[in-house]
Amino acid sequence: MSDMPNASIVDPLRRRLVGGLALAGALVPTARAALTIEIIGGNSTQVPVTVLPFGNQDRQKERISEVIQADLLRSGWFRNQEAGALPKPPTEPEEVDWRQMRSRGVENLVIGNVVERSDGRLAVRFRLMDATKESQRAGFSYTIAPTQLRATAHKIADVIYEELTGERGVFSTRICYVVKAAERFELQVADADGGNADFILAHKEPIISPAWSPDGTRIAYVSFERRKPIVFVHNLVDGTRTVLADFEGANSAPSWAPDGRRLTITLTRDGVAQIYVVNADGSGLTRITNSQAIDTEAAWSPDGNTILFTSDRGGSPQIYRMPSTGGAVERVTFEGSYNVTPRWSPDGRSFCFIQRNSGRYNVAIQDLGSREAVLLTDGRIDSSPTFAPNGRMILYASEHNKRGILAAVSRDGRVKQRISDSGGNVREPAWGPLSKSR
Amino acid sequence: MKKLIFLVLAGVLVSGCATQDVPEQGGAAVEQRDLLESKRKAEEEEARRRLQAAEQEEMNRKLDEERRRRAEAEAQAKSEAEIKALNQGGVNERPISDASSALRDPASLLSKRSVYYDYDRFDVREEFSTIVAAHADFLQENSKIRIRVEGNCDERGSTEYNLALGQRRADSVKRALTVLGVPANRIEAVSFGEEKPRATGQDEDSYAENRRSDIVYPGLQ
Repeated sequence: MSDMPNASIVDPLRRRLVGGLALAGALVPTARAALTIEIIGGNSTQVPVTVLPFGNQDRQKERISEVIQADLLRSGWFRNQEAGALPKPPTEPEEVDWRQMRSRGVENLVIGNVVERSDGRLAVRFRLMDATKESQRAGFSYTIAPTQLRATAHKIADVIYEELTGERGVFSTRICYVVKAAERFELQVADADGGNADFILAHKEPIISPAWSPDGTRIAYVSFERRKPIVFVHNLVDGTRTVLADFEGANSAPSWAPDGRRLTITLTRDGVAQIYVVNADGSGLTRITNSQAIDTEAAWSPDGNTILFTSDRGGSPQIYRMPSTGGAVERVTFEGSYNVTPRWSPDGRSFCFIQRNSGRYNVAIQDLGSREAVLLTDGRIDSSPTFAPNGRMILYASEHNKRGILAAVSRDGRVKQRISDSGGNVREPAWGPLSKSR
Repeated sequence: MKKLIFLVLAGVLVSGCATQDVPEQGGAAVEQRDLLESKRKAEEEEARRRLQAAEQEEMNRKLDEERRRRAEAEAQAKSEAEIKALNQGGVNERPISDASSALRDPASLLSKRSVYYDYDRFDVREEFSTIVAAHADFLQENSKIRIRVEGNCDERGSTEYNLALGQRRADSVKRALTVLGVPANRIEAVSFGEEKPRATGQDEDSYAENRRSDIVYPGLQ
């Protein structure tokens, strides 16, 4: 025990995303259950980090240093280096006793403070210090509304993560997923740490396959609210939504092109499931696969030129690749008789997918160049993998104690997290994009 | 307003410990074997696909045969009835069937509304052809009735692949009904994929129950 404090961070429920206006009866606000994240494995080499309490932080609704520390530790890339007893934790570099810190094993030190301004806003300042060189590695100040404290903590964690690992942090990103509780399905959006969870759509029919637009302002999904699968595009900014595809048969598998103006969808209107490209407003429908078999689950490469998709044209479901304009199709998975749900890594060099092995369904990752595939998870039925926008982690649906949960695994399989909702079955996760502003 | 609680369950951060057993990847020899293995598997799949196509063909042939047999029997019965009517000097009377009560009769084949499938398959197994034929007859006798065929899958595997597979299952029943003479525009085939399991267990019996198409009579159940 003890690497991590028993943090219990309380967050007021904020209704940032109002989806109810357009859908009157379908959307009745209820309180969201908490997502609980449990780390079940860590990276073998972890960077030590020490986050001291920020000055004046106890006057706020939550302790910003604890949110920052929890973010960093949850990533699996850091270990908490205790600084030991400090009667008055330093908040400025000149207050730090460097020799004492070094003697206590401190290497990377985070200090800061929160100042309440006369206009009601908060000035939050932090510095990441190198205890060996006694110098600053990063430091920012933010002037924010008190309600932005948690979001600011995530931003600070992103800065620290990037400074110490060289990769973009994803603590400020959002995820969406579907919660099934009793006879109710909710499409929820939450911060990447499970905080601020709120639903954008709720009804008693299933919701599947949510997909974030590249700018994070819209989510396309499949809803069965009209007793058949129909694809909608939901605007998170104004809560409105439009029908993207409602043809005879099944309408499903929305996936955004990187330009945010087009999507691929799967339709059965011409017979068996085939892949089509459609503009985000529903116009310009064009069929891009032509087979007598199921073609579905298209995913666009980050450069928009190539599509990976699932097809059983060879007799069993496998993953294939083709130009996004249509054309020559090439099979890319060969091991095993069930390989489905391809998702590109953000760098475009590999993809994750679901592979059946000895009756289990698990997340695997395959390098597009070497074709080498590595199995990453070992659940009974894992599904719906989705890359973090920095490519470091893969979020997926799994089960624990016979309930649907979300889990995450690092792309090298070393870091594992289990995420659950105390109120129901969690499924169909999709990790949102990086925010444009840093 | 309800609070959100974010708990970090501590003590489980296994430091300095890689938790994933990554299988060893071999060199050229393994690569070669993999290629042969892939080829063999691809051939097996091709054979399986051909077999499935052949079975589908066979089913279509049987359905055609059944349709011909029924048409002949019907013609025969009709001419017999006409002769009988002539003999009796009366009118050919036929009771007007009460659609709902016929559907509700537990002794009738019409009370069976489900067709079951093998794993990752969508062909209607022969044992269900009499059920499908009974519904085809009923629909031809009741030309105003429209139905839905709802395809379902077990929970394993891809949500989206299962949605497409469920559609194939529903379409296979629709096709069997149309082959028997029911106009296609009276049958709506939809898929629920793995989203509406009837059995919630995680055993083969439950999975088998969920690999299913249901013939649904809206308003007449």
